[in-house]
Amino acid sequence: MIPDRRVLHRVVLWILLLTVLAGGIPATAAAPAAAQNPFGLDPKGAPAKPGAVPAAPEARSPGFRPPAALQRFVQTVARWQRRLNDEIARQVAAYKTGGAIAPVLAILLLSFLYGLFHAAGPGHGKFVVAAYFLANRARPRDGVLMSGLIALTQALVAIGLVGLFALALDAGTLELIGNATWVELASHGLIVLLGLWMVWGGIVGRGCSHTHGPGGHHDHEHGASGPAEPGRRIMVTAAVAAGLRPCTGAVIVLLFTLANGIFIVGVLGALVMALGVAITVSAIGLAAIYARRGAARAAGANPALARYGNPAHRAAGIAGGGAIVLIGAVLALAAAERLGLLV
Amino acid sequence: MRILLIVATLFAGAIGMVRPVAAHPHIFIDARVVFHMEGGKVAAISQHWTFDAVFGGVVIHAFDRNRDGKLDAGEAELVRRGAFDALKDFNYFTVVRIGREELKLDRVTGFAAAVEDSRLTYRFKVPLPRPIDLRADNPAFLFVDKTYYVAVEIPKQNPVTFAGVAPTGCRTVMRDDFENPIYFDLVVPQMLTFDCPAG
Repeated sequence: MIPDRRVLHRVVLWILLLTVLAGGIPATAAAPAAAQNPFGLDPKGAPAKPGAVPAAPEARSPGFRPPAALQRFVQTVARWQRRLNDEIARQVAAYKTGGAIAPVLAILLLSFLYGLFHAAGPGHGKFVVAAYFLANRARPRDGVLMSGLIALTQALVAIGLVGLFALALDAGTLELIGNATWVELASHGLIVLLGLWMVWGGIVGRGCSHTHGPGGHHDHEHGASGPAEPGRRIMVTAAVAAGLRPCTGAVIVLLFTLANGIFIVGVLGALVMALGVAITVSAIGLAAIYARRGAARAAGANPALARYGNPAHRAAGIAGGGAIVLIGAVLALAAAERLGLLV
Repeated sequence: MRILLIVATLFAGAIGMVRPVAAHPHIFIDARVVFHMEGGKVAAISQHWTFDAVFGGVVIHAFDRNRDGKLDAGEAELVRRGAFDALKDFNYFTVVRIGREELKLDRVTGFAAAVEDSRLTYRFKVPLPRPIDLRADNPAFLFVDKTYYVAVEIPKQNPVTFAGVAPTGCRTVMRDDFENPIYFDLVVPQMLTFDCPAG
């Protein structure tokens, strides 16, 4: 009986690990080309540098395909984004000619919606959020907090970069669109460190130090008198790391308002956009937290299964951390390559 | 625990489909397409791109040095070098597919950047490495950025016009290119094909 369960347990863990890796890693390898602005964008008109060429479409394996409904959803979101984009441009023009408050409010509302929809696509740290909260026990509040921090960091980095380049350095800002490569490198490097930390935590059992008696005691709400939140500081670090890469959408809107002489409206817009992003990313974080919780509760009700709680939690931490390490490493290497740090 | 792991596995699989890249598209282009016919075959494709107001506005602002709201010849040349030539690595968002083969398009003639109705526009012509017969070669044409950083759209009605002698007896048909989805298989691009019944 016991050996059987152990075998099952191991098999399922391997499936978990392989699924995360199979889902995340190969696709991430294709991401660098996708993350780069294809236009090159050099305002001084420097000759185009040879960029990362997108992978050849040939020799696809007829493997798993996302359902048609998901494809339709992605296309619908793209259409909404486009309409919002046009509408933002229209309102900026209206503000320039009229100078009234109504277009500003409209721009802020549109920015919020843009953030909400824009973050529905891949990116914005959703993978890190999902992996983090599947691997670590956390409260819903933490899910919202981490998502909010990621979105806020993204907005502040975008505002900071555009502000620094345009206002302080009086330099060209066009290169910032999708090409803030060194910021990317820092972000992904930190994400690797975060993943390593999670793996280490899983190995030594940190972050999962609760004793799991044979009775299957699964109360993990930390009271005020309990030990310090093991994950709080690392969670903030993770959020900042995942948020360091500025959202290209925010950068473009900031540059557009800057070009129209209303940078401050763009700054407000970027912050409101972050609110929209935070809501969407929070939904992923909460889904991960409740998925983990519900499953733990269901398993905890079964004493035969509950005894495997601690090793499984650890293994989840190691698997999640490993996935984050690999993804961060692939993206960091790609960024380093584009910076010419690798030969 | 087993349930937890199964749920976690499913969840990770679902997340795995949504991968960590920037959410796309960031840029939108409306493209108009002209096929240049020579001897009954397509010899070149010229395109007229109109950019979305936001990205286009940023590019205009960056290159319109004298702030006259136009891109003169010198400025347009800078646009070509600074915000167009790099598209060579992306086949200028133009796919000409015959069977499984996609033609390598690495030459562009007659590039022009302009501001029309306060929108940024590009015009350029891509000569095909060899003339394409719409009937015998049965080609598919796609106007697409495979990285989906840019969403390119061509008109649904009359997606293409012809310069020179238009092919007779052929009908343009837009189809979903289900075989070659892009952007992590989340987007099925539209492909332009031609129905040319025999006779």
